[in-house]
Amino acid sequence: MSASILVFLPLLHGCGTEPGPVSATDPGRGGTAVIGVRQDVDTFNLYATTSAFTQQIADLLFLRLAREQPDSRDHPPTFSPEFAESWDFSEDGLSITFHLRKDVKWSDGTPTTAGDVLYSWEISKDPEVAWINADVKEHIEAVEVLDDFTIRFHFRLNYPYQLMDANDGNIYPRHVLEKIPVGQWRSTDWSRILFYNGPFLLEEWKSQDSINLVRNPDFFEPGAPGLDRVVFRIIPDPTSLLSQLRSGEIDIMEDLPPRDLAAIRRERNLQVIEYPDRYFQYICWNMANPLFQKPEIRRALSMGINMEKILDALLYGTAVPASSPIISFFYEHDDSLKPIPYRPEETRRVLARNGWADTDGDGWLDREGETFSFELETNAGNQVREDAAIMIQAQLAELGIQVRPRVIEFTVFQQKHMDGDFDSFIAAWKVSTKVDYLKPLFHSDSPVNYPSYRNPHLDDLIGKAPTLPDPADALPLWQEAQRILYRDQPYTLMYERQAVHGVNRRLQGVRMDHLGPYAHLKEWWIPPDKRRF
Amino acid sequence: MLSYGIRRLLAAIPILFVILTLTFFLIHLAPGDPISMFESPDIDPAAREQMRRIYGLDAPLPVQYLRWVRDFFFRGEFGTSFQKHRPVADLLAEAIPNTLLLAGLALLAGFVIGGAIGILSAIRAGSRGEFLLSLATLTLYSLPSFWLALELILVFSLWLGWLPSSHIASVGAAQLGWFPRIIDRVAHLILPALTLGIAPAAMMARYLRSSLIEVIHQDFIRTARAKGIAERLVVLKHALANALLPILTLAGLSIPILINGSLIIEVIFSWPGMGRVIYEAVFARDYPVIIATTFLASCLVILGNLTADLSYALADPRIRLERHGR
Repeated sequence: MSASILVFLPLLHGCGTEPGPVSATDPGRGGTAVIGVRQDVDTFNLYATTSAFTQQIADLLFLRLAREQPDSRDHPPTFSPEFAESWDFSEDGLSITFHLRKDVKWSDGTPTTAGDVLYSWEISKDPEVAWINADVKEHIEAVEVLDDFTIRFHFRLNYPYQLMDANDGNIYPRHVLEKIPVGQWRSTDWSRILFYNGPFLLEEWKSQDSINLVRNPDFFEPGAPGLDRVVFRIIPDPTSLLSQLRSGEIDIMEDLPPRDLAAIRRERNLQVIEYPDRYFQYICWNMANPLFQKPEIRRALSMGINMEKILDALLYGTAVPASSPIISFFYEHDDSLKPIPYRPEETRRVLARNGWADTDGDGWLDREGETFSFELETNAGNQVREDAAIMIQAQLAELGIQVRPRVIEFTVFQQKHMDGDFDSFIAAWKVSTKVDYLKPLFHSDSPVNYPSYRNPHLDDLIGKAPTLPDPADALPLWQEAQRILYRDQPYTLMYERQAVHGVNRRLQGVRMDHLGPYAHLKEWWIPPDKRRF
Repeated sequence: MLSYGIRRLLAAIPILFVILTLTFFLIHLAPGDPISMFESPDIDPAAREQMRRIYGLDAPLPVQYLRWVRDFFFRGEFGTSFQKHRPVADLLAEAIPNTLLLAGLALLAGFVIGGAIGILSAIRAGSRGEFLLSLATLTLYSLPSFWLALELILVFSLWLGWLPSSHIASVGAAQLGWFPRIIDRVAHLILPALTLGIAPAAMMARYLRSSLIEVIHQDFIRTARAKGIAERLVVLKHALANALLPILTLAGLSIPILINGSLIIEVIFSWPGMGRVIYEAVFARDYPVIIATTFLASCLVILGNLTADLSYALADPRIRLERHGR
């Protein structure tokens, strides 16, 4: 079987029309978009970054072999060509040969070649470089340059994510990166020395202030990008971001606060773009705590929380109750699982059966002189989580369970998870479209297995499923894993969140999806009468 | 006086050493570390450990301390920011001029406005107008600056649309001519400088008022009035010159207020200065940046105090800083 059936034909912009030179006066092109963002990039070298935002910017400046498509519902995501015009799998499925475009140049005029691809692979797995996603390359055995524009990736394993893993990480210019010793990569200002081959070039980076991108006149794709310039303005304060979106100083604000949504929708010059995100919110139960050791008790707690009510009160329709840590629009998601219903009577019964009763009449359940009482931690600065913790406290108090909400500064919050120093907490994961993330989250040996969940059968399932060549064969394993997690409730799944971004209506051609708000930025443009800069 | 200044500067060195050592241990012992920021199921645990080595966090704390003392005090190296992946010295070189511009203007605006209020309320001391003025000043001073900043943005940026609400320049300002560019810069300065200037203004108003009232009741003012000099001249020329003396120290003593204020103001107005650098470094546990900025802030406070003392002595010949008979 060949995995190349998953490759779709490119849907190029302006497909079928005569490719011609791009003119800045073309009404379908041009303009400067100003995007408000809360955080700055830390570097422009993807392989030395620790910031998720840098990855988004790198995708505007540097090509990949292929582009992931937002089509994860019916099969694992497919890819459209980018620097690779096409690719084919070997008979045994253990290697992919990429045929590269010959017309891609770095912004200094030198051609981008297979040598750059090879080099980018080498640094991606170099322990000295310490790229934070280095482990995605674990199944790639070797990379072989066949000629300047043909390159072959050899794998140890035939599995559904070969293309995704080969493609992870952007292609960087070898002739620039080689000049700087790896030991200095994390103290180099790359903005001054890099060359680019993506739709945009970096014009200027003013640390803490703005990232200015300008159209790449030599971009290989005809008619792209649409915009002449993109300015990312760094605005750390969310209230300022919101007021600048409303005043028109910025065109885009990511992640609108849910309670301001109604007001934003009333603004004439703004539109709200929503899409389901790769994001779920959960309560983590620490199984090292005797209170939470039995799956029955954790299920009872899940049933004692009225999630619909919390979503209504706090999220204004921007979230749906979740049933599985595999996102509902992923192919591997088990549709037969429904969110755990609100059944407080069942919670009471289960707790009573386990010997919990209010013997001293203080309103709280107790057993052998001990009250059913625990801390529920959230991080400071996240109002929705803080409010949710208070609502959960009130809901469980009606059942005689004493919840003590606690708000903690973010870094300390994270540290406590890793140290296992908590009773329970509310947090969220933004996950990748590669569902093998279940392994770090729930595998017995994983340092990120915060609930300290131990289940050898689940370990087998989530270890084996990502290594099967055919996604259809892996599907039953993923589904069984989800049913086990549903039954055992190491997490109480709270909700899947919609991404909700505010966008000024002067921007045209805006399309956003779970690949990220700027994944299709090269298609945007601003009509001449609405340009301001 | 010169040797006094030098002596004070030398005495500052051990103070700085103690401050920085305390800071070093406090931030390292505080819960949370720079690596725990990167929490994601996608992150390679091996990369996490390698990062710990790159940052030098794998060594025991006393070893880290000795290394830091060697680099900081003997080589003069601030190190590399964990979070920004750039030399700390570069980060500071970018941020400091912006903060000096903002804080300098805030101090100036504060003193001019506060001075005017102080004079007015001294002349009209005890009147109903003075009571209202004092009440207004006190109210402004008591308002939390972050709240005031947001209200100013609401009124002047969102409702009236007169002033920009953030950053140091407009998008595309680099393409403007020099004059519009200056106008643009001034427009961006008004709201943050006003907000930051309120604390020094209120302080100035209060001190100048009491200082003026004290001077006005002295004999030489009565003499001046007896000579038939106009009341305005008496206050502005004779009294003010003397009342300003104690105010000189205020400029130096305002520096800590301005540093604290800039933390909040720079974040709200997206001003790319020191306050932002400190704010972000603290949340990211960016140890080298926290230490370097603590060092700079301590130096500024020490220098500010010294300037206050010296300028006071310069202005008033009766004050002798050096001990006699040595």
